[in-house]
Amino acid sequence: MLKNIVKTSFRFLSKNRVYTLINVLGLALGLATSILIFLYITDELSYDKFHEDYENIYRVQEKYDWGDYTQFWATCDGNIALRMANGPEDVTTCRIMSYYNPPFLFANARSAENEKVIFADSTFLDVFSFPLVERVEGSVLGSPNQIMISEEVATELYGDISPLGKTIEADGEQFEVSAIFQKVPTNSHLNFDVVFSVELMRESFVRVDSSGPMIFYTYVRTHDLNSKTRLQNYLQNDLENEIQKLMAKSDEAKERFAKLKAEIAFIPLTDIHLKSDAEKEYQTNGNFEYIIIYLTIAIFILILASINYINLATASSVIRAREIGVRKVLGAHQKNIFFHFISEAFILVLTSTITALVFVELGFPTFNAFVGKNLSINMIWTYEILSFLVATTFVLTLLSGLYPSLLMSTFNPLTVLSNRLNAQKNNKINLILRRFLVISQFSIAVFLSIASIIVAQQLRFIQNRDVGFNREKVVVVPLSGDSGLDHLVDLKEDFLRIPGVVSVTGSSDVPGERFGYYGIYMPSLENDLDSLPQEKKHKTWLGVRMLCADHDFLSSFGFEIKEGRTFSFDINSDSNAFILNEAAIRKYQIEDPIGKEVVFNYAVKEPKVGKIIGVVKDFHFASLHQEVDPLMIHIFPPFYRYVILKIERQQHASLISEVERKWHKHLPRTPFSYYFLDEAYESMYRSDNRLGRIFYFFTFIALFLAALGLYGLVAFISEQRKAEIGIRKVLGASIGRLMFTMSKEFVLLILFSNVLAWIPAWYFINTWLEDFAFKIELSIWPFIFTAIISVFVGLLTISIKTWVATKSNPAEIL
Amino acid sequence: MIKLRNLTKVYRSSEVETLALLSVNLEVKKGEFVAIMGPSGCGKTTLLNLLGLLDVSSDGEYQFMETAVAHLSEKERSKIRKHNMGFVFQNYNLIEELNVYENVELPLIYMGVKTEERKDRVHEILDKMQILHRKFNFPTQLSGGQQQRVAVARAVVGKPRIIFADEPTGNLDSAHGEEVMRLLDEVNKSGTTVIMVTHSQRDASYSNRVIRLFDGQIINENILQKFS
Repeated sequence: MLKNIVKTSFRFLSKNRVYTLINVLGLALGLATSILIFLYITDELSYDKFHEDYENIYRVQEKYDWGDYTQFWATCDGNIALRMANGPEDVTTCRIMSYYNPPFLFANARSAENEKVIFADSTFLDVFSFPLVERVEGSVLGSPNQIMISEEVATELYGDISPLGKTIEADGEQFEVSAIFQKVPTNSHLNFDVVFSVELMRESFVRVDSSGPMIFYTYVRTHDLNSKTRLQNYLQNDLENEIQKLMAKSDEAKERFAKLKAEIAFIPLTDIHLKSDAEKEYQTNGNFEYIIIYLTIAIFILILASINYINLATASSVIRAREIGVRKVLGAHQKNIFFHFISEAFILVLTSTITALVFVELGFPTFNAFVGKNLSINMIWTYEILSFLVATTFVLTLLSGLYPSLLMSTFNPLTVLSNRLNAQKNNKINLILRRFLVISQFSIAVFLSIASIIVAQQLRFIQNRDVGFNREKVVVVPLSGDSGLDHLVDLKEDFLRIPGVVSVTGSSDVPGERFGYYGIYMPSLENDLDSLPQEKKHKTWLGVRMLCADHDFLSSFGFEIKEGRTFSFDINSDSNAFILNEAAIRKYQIEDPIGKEVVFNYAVKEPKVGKIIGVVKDFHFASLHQEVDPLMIHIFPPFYRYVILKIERQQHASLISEVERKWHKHLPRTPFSYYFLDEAYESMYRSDNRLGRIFYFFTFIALFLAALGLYGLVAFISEQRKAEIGIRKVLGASIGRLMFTMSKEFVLLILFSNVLAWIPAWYFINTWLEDFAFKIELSIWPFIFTAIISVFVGLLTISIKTWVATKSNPAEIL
Repeated sequence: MIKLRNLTKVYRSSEVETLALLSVNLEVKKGEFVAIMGPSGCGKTTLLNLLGLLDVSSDGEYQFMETAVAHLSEKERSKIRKHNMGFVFQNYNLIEELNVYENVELPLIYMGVKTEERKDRVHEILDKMQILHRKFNFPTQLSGGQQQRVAVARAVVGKPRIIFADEPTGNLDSAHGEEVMRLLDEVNKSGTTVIMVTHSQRDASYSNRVIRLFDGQIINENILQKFS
């Protein structure tokens, strides 16, 4: 029986090539898209799951809710790890800190730079299980001079020779390689190439273990959920006790801390990538909402492809009717016929799945470039993906084949054999179903089209918006450690002599990076408030983002000074001066800011006290998702990480090689690297651009599938209406009139689909835009434009087929 | 073998009621070759469809092999058809996606006959119908006469007790028509009952008796040959 079904199905499918092609192509495209999305989602969900016992690893964070401001950082001070380790639970903790201005590595007369460098506790490998190549016996980060490097760095420095136990120089000091690890998996929220010991930090920063600067990503590996809960409660109690103690000190403290809600948060390791968006994240994380959006779209696309099958199979049931009749006359039961057609659907879906896998393999390079991942076909051979494929094949078979198979199995043999089935084309249920399916299909396509247009508009808005400074023709050269910083003055002088270089400056950050958040206080601001009791003065900290930059930084970028002036080389006191942005002035209601005193004492031996000399117009140093935060700019060379060159023209090859030559003149062993600011700035919108690209791609697929389905449907309907067309022609209908007759129903259905899609599209896009502090105004035009385009695509599709049908000679038909 | 008592068939649509057969009484014995004749629209095919359990009567009784079958479910009717009846249609109704061999094999598949036996029986019947050399051809590659021979082969391969043929020569030229009638005659002579609807007097001459229908009623039974 099965052999007979397979044979008949294959022969029917190979005979009706257009039908088969539309179905297989549609289903395969839908499936390929879904498989790619599923692989993408699987990869996103797999973050940090390669660590042993990952369910019991957490990142510990503190949340301080002051009512009007919430401080929730990914980092915390170095003391929490100590308290956990010495607490009631037997747990392992590990602190990690990013190396702010990483040095280059030098060994074996070779150098390696631009590596991501971190500090970590000696317990690093007890908490995490990053795959190792080799390691020394005993501790790997227990002493200050131990260093772990990646296999790539090892090869860069030592070629094929193992560097284990050998020395590497960094910032003039010697380190012994204690472990070599494999390239950090791409699905890790921590990425690094070099690991120094926290013990090294201790030599220059004594407050490693004390409460204070929140600089450590702190991880803890517990035994189980109960142990985690007990530990969390222990820390929470500890924190609350601390606050109580503070409150007991004075009435002022009591009043101040009464509104504080302090909380210890244990973020599961596997939630960090997709669900955590705290301040000072290790790197830009993924977005769980986008995962849901992609998943929904993948399901939409599969539904679209299934609808094509249902529509075509139902329409083609008329030409299969006689076969069904014969089979029934020869003894086939309803269940035999049902089984026959559901098997046929299965064969089609299976063929489509195989075709989809070919598409997936071919599509990987493009898709990977699209989403910035490194997915491969090998990922399919996992239990999850194979289960997904098998499940999807069966679900699609049922989704696509169930109705047509049920419909055909109920055909009355007598009706179908006496050619009375043509009446089926006017069967009410079929007609309603077909309309419903066309509407569903176009609604999905229209929804995606509207979303695509608006996403594109918003992305264009982001690209073209005046961000408050000129980011073009700006070359950023990382200083690569203290040696670069030591030569900053010489480098600046030499770079300025290069023809084509307009200006050279130094800075701690460049727009597009997450600027650090610090506290400053302004005595004058508090003194102004006469009502403030004396004991409360000097206590109110103003939270600001900080940018440390050279005198000429603001002029190089073309920032607009709204009040006062920018830094001047000629005024000595400017090295202690501060410039604030408008947002800071606004937020802290600073009246007449020029000349007012600011105190900054973070990580400096002596507090830096200076005056405000200017107010810079707000510029978007962070993405347009956020409002512009209060910002403080001051000259502070110890924090510089970059030399920034403003150049005349974008043609740069010879200029860059000259910059490199000058660099090596002062820093012969330090590798040179550079990038363009505009490119780096764009990377802030990587996730948005990715969403945009995925939407454009999906919209294309959705419109293509909808048009494909419509084409197939019209092909069958015009075949069924051949006689009607012939009669109309005999009665004098023109081709134009005939095409109108054939198309009008579909055009109405498409228009109706538009109206249906408008509200969900508006809702979705409105929600998406809410994430942007700066956004376009939603207008009706994308909706109208989509309606026009969808009708045009529909009409074009219908016209191709109806044109052929209406051109045929009536004598041939009648 | 077949007994009809007051068999009536009315087609009803929302506004129109068409009387196709009115109180038909008929008896067909095992081994008979019966021809049903009459003008277009007189109810010949309706009668054949009722006899072949492809349709259900509106009223009256139908006994097939001593069993009342007029009100059976589609599933039960299908079971009786599968094991007892063969059909030959004017337009052959071969499945285009199946070749000659596979078309003839189909009823045996539905009857649950094992592969080896199916192979023997199909070969035997194709040989008998002199179409074995065409077994791998598809219907569209055959002439009308050849297609109808395949249809007859398919109708008899399951060794049915009775064959229903609806104008089996209607689409054929006289030479091919003659060939098909001789086959049906042979089938009948081998013991299978045949009931055939025809317009052709010459085809009717192969039968033992002719039933004439007019406006849904039997008006005359012309027994050409005494049948015992």
